[in-house]
Amino acid sequence: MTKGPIEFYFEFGSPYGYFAAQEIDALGAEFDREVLWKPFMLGPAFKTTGSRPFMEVPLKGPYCVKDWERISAYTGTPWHMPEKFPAAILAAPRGFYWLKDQGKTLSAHKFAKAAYKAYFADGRPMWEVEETADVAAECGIDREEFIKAVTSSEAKQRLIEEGQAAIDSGVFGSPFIRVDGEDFWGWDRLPMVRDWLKTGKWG
Amino acid sequence: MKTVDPRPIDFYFDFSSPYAYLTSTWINELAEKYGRLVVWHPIMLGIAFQETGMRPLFHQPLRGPYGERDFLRTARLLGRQAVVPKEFPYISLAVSRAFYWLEDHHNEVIFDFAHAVFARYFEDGIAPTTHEDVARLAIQVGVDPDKLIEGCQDPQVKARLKDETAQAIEKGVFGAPFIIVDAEPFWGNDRKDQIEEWLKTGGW
Repeated sequence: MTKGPIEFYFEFGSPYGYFAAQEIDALGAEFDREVLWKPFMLGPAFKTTGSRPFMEVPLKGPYCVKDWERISAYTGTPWHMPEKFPAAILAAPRGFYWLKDQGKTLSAHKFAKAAYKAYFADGRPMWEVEETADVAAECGIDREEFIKAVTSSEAKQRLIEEGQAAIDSGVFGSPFIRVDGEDFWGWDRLPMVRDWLKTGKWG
Repeated sequence: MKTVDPRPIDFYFDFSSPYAYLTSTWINELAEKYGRLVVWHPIMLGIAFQETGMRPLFHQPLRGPYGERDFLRTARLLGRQAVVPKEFPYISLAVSRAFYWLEDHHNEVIFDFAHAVFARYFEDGIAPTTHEDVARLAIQVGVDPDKLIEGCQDPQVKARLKDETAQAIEKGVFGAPFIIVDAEPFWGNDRKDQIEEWLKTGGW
């Protein structure tokens, strides 16, 4: 029997999504599960739940800034607080679906990891289309085609629809991991996801 | 006898917080493993929420149903009974004041009392808000119920709960459970592994 995939919902501007992205493929490989990467925009989801970005919440904002540095040291994942945060990172998820829709899944994943690294480790302005196109080019993607694609109305519409479908299915945060209909929210739930993959449901 | 590290671990919680209930089942045991003690600080989380604009998890669209399911499955994982109480959250004023009175007068029962408060709400599904509820809990832990009820109305005890809440917010506490180990803050029951790693290694 083929086992279902791990659905990995994430936002390209989400630090906890970035940390989870470093581990999710290895988790899939360990339990012989395909990992479906599903970028979406967290802003519309926050409108649904009435949540606000971490940085705007008193007390919680400073805690999170400290927490990201601590997770970086804990996991050995490079981290550099972006100069602009939060930021609307749109070209990366649009580019991701453009690649994926052409069947270039490997290329899409490679690009996603590079885009995350560019923003959260290398301090690059990923809210800009030009900079995102540079990252795509570094991944062997045609720069001009990339720009043309991510600024098209089709790409914009595609991302909006993915985001709405995610919200409709109950996704409200990043990272958000779904395995066999069971939802897990947050980087800190990866050990639980692993346990779930190993044992099935508990109790 | 093992020597106890003099630096306490601070455990901040509201008695109506589901994830704090889960943490209450393991925090003392974990601390003991590393020769540490835990100071329990019940607070009124609603006051912190006023500060941050946050709301109880179960009340938020999408997050609410997720939170309920997650709370129950995490309880199963820990081998604990749990229900999602119909009345949620509740004003945990009476039991929090009772806790601080007991701390000054019957220190030996504070953990039994706290466990009994959590169990009443998260196992029986009943919010302990009245004097009768407090009396019942007092009897459960072998304390004179009338004295405990009287203690809850002591102005000093009332002031203590206010101070504890204000001090917690000053230290950056914005949710529950919130655990501070040697000035390092950890938010959430799901940070157990990191807390243990911090206790083991002294930080990274």
